Amino acid sequence: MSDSKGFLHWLFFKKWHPVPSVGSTIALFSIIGVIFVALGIVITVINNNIQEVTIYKYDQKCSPVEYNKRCSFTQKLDNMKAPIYFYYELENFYQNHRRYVKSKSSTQLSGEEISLSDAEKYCDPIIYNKDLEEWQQNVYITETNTLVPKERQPDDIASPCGLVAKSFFNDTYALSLQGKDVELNQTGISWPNDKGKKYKRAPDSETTQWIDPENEHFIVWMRTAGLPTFRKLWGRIEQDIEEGEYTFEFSNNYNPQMFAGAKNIVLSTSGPFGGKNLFLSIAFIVVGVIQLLIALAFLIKKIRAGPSFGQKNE
Amino acid sequence: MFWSKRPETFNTPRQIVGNFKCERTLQELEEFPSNFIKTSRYNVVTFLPKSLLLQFTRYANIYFLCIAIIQCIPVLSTLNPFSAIAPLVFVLGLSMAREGWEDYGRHVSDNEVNSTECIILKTRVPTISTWAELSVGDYVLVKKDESFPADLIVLSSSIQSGACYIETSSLDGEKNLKPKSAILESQELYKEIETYCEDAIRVEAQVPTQNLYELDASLFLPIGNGQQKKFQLTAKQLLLRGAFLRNTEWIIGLVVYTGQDTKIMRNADASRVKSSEIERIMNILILGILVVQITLSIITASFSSAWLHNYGGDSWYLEYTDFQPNLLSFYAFFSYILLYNTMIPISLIVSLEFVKVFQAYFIEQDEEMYVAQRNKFAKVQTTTINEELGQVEYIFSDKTGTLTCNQMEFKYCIIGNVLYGKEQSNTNNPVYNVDLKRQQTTKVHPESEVFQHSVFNFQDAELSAILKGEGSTGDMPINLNIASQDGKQKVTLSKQRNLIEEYFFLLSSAHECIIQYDKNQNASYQGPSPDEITLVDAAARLGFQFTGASASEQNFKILGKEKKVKLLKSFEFDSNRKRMSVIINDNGVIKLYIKGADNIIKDRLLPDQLFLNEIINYLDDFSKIGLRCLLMATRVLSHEEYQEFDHAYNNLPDNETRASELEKLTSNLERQLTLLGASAVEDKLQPLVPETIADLLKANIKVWMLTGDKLETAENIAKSCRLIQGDFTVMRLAVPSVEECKKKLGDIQDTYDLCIKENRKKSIVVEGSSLQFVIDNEDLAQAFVSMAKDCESIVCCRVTPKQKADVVRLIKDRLNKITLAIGDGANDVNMIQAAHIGVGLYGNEGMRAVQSSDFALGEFRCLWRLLLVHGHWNYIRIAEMVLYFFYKNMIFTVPQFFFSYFCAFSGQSYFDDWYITFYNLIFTALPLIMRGTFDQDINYRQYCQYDQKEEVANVQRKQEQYLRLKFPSLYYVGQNKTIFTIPNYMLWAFNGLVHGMIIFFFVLWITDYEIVQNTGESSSLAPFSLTVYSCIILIADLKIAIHTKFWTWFNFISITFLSILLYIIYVIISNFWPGTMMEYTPFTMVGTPHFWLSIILIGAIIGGLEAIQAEIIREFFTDPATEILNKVKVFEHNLNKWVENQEKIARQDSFWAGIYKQKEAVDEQELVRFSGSQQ
Repeated sequence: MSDSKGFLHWLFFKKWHPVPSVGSTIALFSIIGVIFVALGIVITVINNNIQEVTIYKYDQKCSPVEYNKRCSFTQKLDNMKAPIYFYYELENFYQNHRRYVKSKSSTQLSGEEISLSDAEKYCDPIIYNKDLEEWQQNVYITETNTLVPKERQPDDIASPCGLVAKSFFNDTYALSLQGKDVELNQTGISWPNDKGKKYKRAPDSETTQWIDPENEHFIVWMRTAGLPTFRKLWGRIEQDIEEGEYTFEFSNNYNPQMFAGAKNIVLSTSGPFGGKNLFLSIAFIVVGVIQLLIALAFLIKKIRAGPSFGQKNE
Repeated sequence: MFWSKRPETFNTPRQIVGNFKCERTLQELEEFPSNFIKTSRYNVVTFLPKSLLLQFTRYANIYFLCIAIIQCIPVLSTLNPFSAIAPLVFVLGLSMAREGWEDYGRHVSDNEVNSTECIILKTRVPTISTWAELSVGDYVLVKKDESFPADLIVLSSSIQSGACYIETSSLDGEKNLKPKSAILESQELYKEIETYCEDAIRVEAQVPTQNLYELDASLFLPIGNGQQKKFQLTAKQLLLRGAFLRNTEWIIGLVVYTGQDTKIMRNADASRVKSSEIERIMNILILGILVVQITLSIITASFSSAWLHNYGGDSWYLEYTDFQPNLLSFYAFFSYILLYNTMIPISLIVSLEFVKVFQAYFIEQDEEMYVAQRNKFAKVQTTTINEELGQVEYIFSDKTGTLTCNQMEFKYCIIGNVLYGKEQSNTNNPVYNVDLKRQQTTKVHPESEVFQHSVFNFQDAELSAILKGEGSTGDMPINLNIASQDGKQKVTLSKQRNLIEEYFFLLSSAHECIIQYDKNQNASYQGPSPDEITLVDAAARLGFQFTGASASEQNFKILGKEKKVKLLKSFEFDSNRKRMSVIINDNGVIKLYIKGADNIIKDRLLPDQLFLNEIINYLDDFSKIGLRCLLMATRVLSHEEYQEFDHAYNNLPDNETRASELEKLTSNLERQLTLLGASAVEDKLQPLVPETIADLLKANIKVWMLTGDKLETAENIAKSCRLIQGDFTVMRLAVPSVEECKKKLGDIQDTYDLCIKENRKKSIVVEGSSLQFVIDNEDLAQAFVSMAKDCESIVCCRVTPKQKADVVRLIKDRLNKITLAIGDGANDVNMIQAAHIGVGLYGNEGMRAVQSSDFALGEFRCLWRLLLVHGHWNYIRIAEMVLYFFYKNMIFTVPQFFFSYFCAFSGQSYFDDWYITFYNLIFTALPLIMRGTFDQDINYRQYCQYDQKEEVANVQRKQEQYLRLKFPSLYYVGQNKTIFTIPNYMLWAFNGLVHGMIIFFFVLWITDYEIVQNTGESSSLAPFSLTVYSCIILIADLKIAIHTKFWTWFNFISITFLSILLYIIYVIISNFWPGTMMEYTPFTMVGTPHFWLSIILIGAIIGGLEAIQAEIIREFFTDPATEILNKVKVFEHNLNKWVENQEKIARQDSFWAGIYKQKEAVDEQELVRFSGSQQ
């Protein structure tokens, strides 16, 4: 390792031997602490402007759960600024269960036909039309979520096949204030790029598929949640709403009681950082304060220890 | 299995009949192994199965194979099977490729060797053939500078006397020529190539052995009438495969051993695989982790079972058709084995190998371990034990050639009662001497430098006068009568002059040296030992010139006159005999000339020696100043006595007892000697030996010196190289019997206890015979080791090579401490192989030590840098690397473990398949390897050139001096195993656990079901996993950056480009990887504030934790390295101030204070003195 071996050698062995000093540690911690506290405050302010309403276990307002049974209830809402996001929330539903997650065919969902062996490999245990729910067997659900009756061969490969598709969440909602409908925009609710790239309609979609893979509710459902309690976007209210007793009309199709779960409705506005997130604001403030305290502790120590402390470290 | 076994019949004593026609049947061919040599292990067909099989002798590989198999079972597999098989294939492929490459090299060299041409004599017709076609019993013609195709018995040579010279550098590295010779009778029969004898000859030879210098065979030569006469053959007739014929036109040889039976092949040992202590502990830890892995899997599986029993049937969306919760949880067990498999690092072993090879490269490149004199850099032959260099507690050093130069100077001679050589200037100042010498050698081109074993500065006016025929003292009457036992022969030396002549004639006659001429026709002597060369050289310079020898004659030029004597017998020097002798016929008087170690010769003298007392007095003085002494003696034999001996000699039995019989016979002859005089030769110390040893002692390394010298000499050399320093208490153990040994050991124990009480440094000097009692007796050994282990230095004198190894084992087996043996000669090989670390020096005694060593150095002084710098660094690097490896696998597995709770213990993988595979293989591999290669707690380098500005150069010099003083005090880091400890391991693992939990739960709480985008979309599994994974990569890199104390561009590039950039690239790729969990997730995710907020938050938390932890450690454990570093950093500004303030600065009461206080005090004193002298 000498200087005599030329430029490359010098370049490769140019070295830096950092020695952390108390002074720089204090500075670093103070700066980070200040930034964090500031960020935390900003997030808190944003959070306070975000409104969130949760209607728990709305299915119980309309028991028992039956297919295509329409019910309604009223809920008092405050003034909310557009856009207001309409979510459904499931509890204790393991969309991330291994058996569940892997039971789908991404080839099929991207609009290609798959062989029987692939269907068996990827979609087990839901392979054929006959494995689907009864209501799914003789229907075609369009992109706009309307149901068109269709006859299907029970022994054809189900398209889309697999557990995720089969358990498609099919509750529908409508919202009105004193008889006047509040429009729920159901487009643009899926992740960017999912529609049309990851999920594509087969050429002869209507005859072979029981649901159009470009149906956005379907796409939202297919993006499996990471936790057993999850929210999925159902629609968007693109106008400010005023205070009042709103009527929620819904078809109570989906049965959460079987798995000891629940289904809720969440209405929320959003800020630049997404939805209401108390944890984030608290975490930033707490971490920032702790960093400042550490800086302070170092400072006190430095002052109290006197010059010998500095001597040791600088 | 695949390896063919050596047939039993090869292992019986053999009868060989010279094959005159050189034709033989197939059956005859199979009698002995063929001369075709195969060192390669594989061919095209067997390579794959054989090398694969070899790979699976490693436990780790078996484990990973099992994992890969489980991975391939769909019902168990959670991941893409390829993602588990790929790393296995990668690791195996890498090892196998290396194996294959090495084997290819062996194939090439095999082919080359086997197809080398040689000349077979078929019915006297020279026929060109190849080595491979040769078989036992063939007559071979070898010409000058050709190498021997097999082990041959020389039948005749172009030189009349039958002598020939061979160079065996390829076998033992010895460059000097070795004389061999045909026995006279066969030389007669075979001296003409065209007309040599065609009668059958027969050889009876023993089973082939490994010993290069041993041949146990007899030759039966035809003496007419179909009768045969038996002649005993010795190693003098053996020409070794691979050696070269020199200085001889041609020889005819008979093939005795072929192929795998040849000495060279028998000596080709399979390379040993040494594994280091850290690796052993690491393996245990890995086993521990395996247990943890299985336990966690069982826990998760039982939770899985509970969940399935409670909810499994109800969860209609899972559609269990044939619902068997127990079976499913059993599957879950294996699934989790696979998922938690990331805890066990497949790439740790590979990464370690890489790092160690790189470290070895830098050791080999280190210019400060370059020895210009020999043009040698350090060489690393075993790369697996680099870090043990930093843990050495005991060094066992040979003396000759290791501590000393093996360069002799003829200092004094005592002839009769008179001492000659008093007028020389005293040059016994090794360091000064050597410095001068080094300056000279740097001017000379290193390759042109011919090493001279002897230095001649001898001057004595009186002696020269006497030799010129002048000088009054030459006529001093002596009247020494030397008579044969039966009184028939008698020699009288009447005057001192005669005695002197007899003495120098002995020196020029009794030796094994030969003359070698270089290009300029300058004669120089070559011989087996430097002492011998020095003596012959000295005799020659004083006018008793040895001018050459044949098998039966010696030529001299004595004081200008030619002289010839008949050489009857010559008995070689060996370490057991410690003497060598010749029998010559000097004008009809048969004399035995002998020279040897004083105690050996003393016992063999006739009673009432004239000069004994005086000589012994002188010798005592000599050994005090570290000179090597030999006694010279003679005996006159009558013709009858010699005939009797010769007869007995020729009828020695031809079997295993031959050697011992011969020993008895010669021993009997070498008695009743008359003492003529003695010689004293100085053994020069190698450069910087005292300084190096002093620093090693300061580093708390115990240094043992093992030497064949006598006690006083050894103790003296020990003093001159600071192995025993002024304040040391020296205890001596030299006793003749076991009982006394016990008693003496008791005494030593008392002294020792006193030393311990008074905290004095101590040293024990042990003699070989006492050492043997200690080694043989369990109790004594225990007692001895219990004291010796804490002695700063031990000197063992009069030890044999075997004892050297025994001493090493004594410590190694009993104390479980890392030992290092260093030596340069063949007699150190045992010791070098016995120790944990064997260091060989490129010496003048051949390459045997280097060949069997793990590290080869040019000089002893290189040990300083090898141990205190490279060893120290490498220990830290490897230890922290292993710890970090466990950490980074921990941090990666913890989120997976906690995720299992959120996915109903279903065995769902938290990360995408290839993300898991690439984590260890790519994203975190290179920063780690770079750190393991380059990190230095303190950069230590000597300035090859100081800065041109005087002030800067001054600071540089001081800085260097300061570091040189301080570095030994850092060695405890590895020696006390302060880094790779169980508490430290726990700390790192705990760190991994906490960091993993922080990452997982913070990301969980930040992004779980919250709306992650301002367009309202919620999170899901893929972004969740991506965020956590990104945090892990960040933290893993952050952690290694925090722990990198020494940054080079390699570190920087590996962290930024080869880790983070590669990760980013892979994230981009995974965005478009169809069918994976991540598809179309990353691009959207990196646009969300939650992703970045998570990373910033977690980075700040863990960075803060690390800083606090570092501060706590700094507060409670003072780290000397950091202090030194700080001082070096500000050296320019306040070195002088620092020196002045040293006493004022109160040392903090730290953990290490106790260990260091003492050393620091000494160091600082020296530094103060040093800087005082600078001003």
